[in-house]
Amino acid sequence: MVVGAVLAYPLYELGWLSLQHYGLFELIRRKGQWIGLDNYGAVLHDGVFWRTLLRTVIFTIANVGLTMVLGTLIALLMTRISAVVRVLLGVGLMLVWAMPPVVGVQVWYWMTNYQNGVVNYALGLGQHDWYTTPFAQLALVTTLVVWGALPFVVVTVYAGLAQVPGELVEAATVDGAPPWRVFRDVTFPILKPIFLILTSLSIIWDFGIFTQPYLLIGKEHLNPSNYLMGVYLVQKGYAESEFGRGAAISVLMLVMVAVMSVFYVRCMVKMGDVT
Amino acid sequence: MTALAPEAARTRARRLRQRRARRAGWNLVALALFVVLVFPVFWMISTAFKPTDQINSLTPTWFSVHPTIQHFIDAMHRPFFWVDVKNSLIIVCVTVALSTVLAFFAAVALAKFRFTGRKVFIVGMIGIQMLPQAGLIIPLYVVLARQ
Repeated sequence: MVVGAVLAYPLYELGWLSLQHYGLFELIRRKGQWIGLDNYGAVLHDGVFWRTLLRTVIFTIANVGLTMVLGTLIALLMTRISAVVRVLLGVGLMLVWAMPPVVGVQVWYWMTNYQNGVVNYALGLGQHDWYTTPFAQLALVTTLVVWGALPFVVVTVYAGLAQVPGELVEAATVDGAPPWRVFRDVTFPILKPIFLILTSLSIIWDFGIFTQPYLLIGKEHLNPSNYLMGVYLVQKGYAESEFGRGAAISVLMLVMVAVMSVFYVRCMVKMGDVT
Repeated sequence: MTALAPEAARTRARRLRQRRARRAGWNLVALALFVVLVFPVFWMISTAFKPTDQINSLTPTWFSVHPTIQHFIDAMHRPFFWVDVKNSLIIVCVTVALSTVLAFFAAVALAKFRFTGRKVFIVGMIGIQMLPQAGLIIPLYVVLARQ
C-alpha cells in the first residue's frame, strides 16, 4: 500500500495540475487557479498538437518496426555464426547498450557534422548538411534511437530463440519448409509473448521519447515542423511556463499509450493470475 | 551396398562443404554488422585521445598517431567536475537502494498475498511505465518548487 501511494502520488498531482491554470505567477503564489477542462480544450484546439501527434505516430511506427525487424534478423543471424564471431558481436552489442543516450547524441552529432563529420567523409558527400529538412532530422533521430534500442531486442529475442525446441525446426526443415516458413509457422508462434512484450515496451519508449530529438536536433533548430510529443510537451509546459497545460498534454499522452498498449496490459494481468 | 557407399560419402562431403560456405558467409555479414554497430563507440574513444587540431581537421583521422590524454586532464580539472561525479554517485546509490527495497516489498506483496486491488496495482505499475518521463518532471518540479 505504501508502495502504491508512492507511485500514485505524482500521478494524482499530475491529474490535479492539469485542471488548473498554473504558470510562473501561480508557482510563486503556490496555489493554482481552478479552470476545469480548459487546459484540455486549449490543447485539443491547437493545430500543432494534432500535426505533432500524427508525426509522432508515424515516427513511433517507423522506429518500433525497424527495431523489431532488425533486432529479430540479428538475433537469427546470431544462431548461425561461429562461436567466436558470436561473442564478438555480443560484446559489440553490450558496448552499444552501455552508451548513455546523451553521449550517443553527442557522438552522432560529431559524426554527421557537415563541416568535418566522418560520415560525410566516408560517403564522399563533401559538406552535405544532414539537418536541413524535418524529415532528415527525424530520420537521423530514428537511426540513433534504433541503434540504441537494438541490443535489448537482440539479446531478448536471442534468449527466446534458445527456448525453441531444435527438433521442431529440424522436423519442419526435413519436411521441406523454406526458412521463412519455418520462422513464420514454428519459431514465431513460440516467441509470440516475447515479441508482444518487446513491441509494447518499444511503443511506450519511442512514443514519449525526448532526449534524442531534443538534443540532436538542437534547441535553435526545434520548431513546430519537427516536434515530437515529448518535445512538444516540454516546449509547452516548461519553455512557456504553462505547467497546467503541460500536465494536460502528459495526461493525454498517457491515455494514448495506454490505449495502444491494451493488449500488453491484458497479457501481463493474465500472467499475473497464473503465478 | 558396396557400390552405394562412395556415392553417399561424396554427397555428405558436398553437404558439409556447402554448410561451411554458408556459415562463412553469415560470419562475414555478422562482422560487417559488428563494425557498423560499434563504429560510434569506437569514434567516441578515438576522438577522446586525439589532439584538438586533428578533431577539427577537414580530413578525419581514424587513429591518432600521437594520442594525448590532455582532454581527460582538462575534464578532471574543470570546476565542479568532481562535484558532479559526487552528485551522480549519491543519486545512483540512493536510487538503487530505495528502488530495491521498495520493489522487494512490492514483489513480496504481489507474490504472497491476494489483496483487494491487486489487479489495479499491477495495471498501475505498467501505467507508470507508460508515462512520458518529461511528463513526470512537471508535477515533481511544481511540488518541489512549492516547498
